[in-house]
Amino acid sequence: MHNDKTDAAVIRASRKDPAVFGAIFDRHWPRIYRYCAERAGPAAGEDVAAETFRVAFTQRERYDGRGDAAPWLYGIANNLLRRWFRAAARGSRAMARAGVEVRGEELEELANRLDAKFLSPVLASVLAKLSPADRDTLLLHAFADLTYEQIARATDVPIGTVGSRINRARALVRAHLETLELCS
Amino acid sequence: MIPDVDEVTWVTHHRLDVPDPDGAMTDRARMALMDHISAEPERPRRRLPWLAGATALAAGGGVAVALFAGGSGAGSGTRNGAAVSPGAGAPLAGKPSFVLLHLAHSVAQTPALPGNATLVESSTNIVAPGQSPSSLTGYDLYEDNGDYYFGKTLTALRSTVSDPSASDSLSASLGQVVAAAAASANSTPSQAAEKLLAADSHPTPQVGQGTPPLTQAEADRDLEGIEWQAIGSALEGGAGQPQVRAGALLAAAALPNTTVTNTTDAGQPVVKVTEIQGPDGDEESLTVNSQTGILLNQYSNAGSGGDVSNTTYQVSRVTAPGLDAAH
Repeated sequence: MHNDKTDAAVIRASRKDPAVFGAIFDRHWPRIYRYCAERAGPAAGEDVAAETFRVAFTQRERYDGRGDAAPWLYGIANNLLRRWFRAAARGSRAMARAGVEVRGEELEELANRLDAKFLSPVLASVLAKLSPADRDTLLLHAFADLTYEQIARATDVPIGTVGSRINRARALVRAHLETLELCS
Repeated sequence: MIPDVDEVTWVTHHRLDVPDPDGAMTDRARMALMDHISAEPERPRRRLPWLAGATALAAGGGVAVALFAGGSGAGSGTRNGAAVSPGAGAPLAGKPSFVLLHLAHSVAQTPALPGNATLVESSTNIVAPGQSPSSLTGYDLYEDNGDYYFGKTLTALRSTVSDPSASDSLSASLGQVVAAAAASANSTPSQAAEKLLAADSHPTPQVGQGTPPLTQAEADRDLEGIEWQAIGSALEGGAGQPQVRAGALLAAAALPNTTVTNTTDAGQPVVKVTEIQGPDGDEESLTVNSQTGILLNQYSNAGSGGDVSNTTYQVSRVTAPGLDAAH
């Protein structure tokens, strides 16, 4: 029924007829699920991806009106993933400390490590050294196949910042590859 | 030797092997979304508290024009809600601006100009405390079919317009506000104000919301701010369409805390609508051509210690995609 409409038109129509938003789910669910599962594992990835569409529906009035909603959805998914890693970090450390909650930098550091840990082992060893923002940017490019411009939309930063972040991430990966070469 | 592989490709190659979502998983997620959608509360209807007076007093443009005929001249100013210039008469509690009513009525009778798009060249100067002044210039192209393009320069804009894949629908929210303004061209000011507000996507400010909780006066002020922004958006996004300008000007006529002045700018007669808001005395103004209602300037001063922004506009009708001037 809405196959011929852009995402923007569907989202606009969903303001009057909310059920129409289901078309956005049908179009983007597989890719959003895949990205979340690649970042957080299949079980958590399913939860985070499903939550992404619920949050998107609630925030649809803020949609910027562009034809393709994918970058917007990836941006929401990224924020939810970060929140999920923080929650996981808080939970695991809290259990270890018999209910003592961790906060601030310690929590961020733990969430950061968890974020990298859910990647494949070879990636985890490299990407754990990246800042969360650089890692998100690199993975949106490498996993979700977003362009710099789309990443800028997803993460709400200027396109130049996206370029800088990817360059930093590339340099780190390159250094790792060089190390591998030296060790072989 | 370093492996001859692109770093991003290497990362892509080493990601987890995740299978596609199966049917059961997809059904679970879709059902959760539909449950969430069906539980959405109905959006509360927004009602501007200050519209009641305006509704009764602005039954039609003809009456307003007749009243205006003996009204203010160049340089005079009238505050909606109270006269502000000597000799302007008794306080006009709740009355809409006659100047704006007259202008809106006149603009609504104006035939649409030729061309299929409106080109808006804007130049913004921003002065922020502790920072060097900055300026932004750009060209917005609003096609009558709803497509929208932007270019930092005219050349860049032409290049973008010539590439069909770059076309984009007008931002959903802006498109709705522009459409609401067009539909309000022959309404009363209060109806126009309500239509613009209904079309705007900002959440409704609620008393008791936020930290510290909003008071009634703050919620009313925020609502008026949303209306003000919607009027500015309609005047900009629909600059080339007389019906949109007329509707936006009618909505502006309903605003209670504004001063409307007939004055001149660079030698041309203009109408300036000024609003002062909030405890810090934030001041914003919209200046339009006194004959056409076309937006010429937007000014914003965030009050004590805040940013000052001044944007000037040059509006023309063109024919896309070449952007030749329409005659």
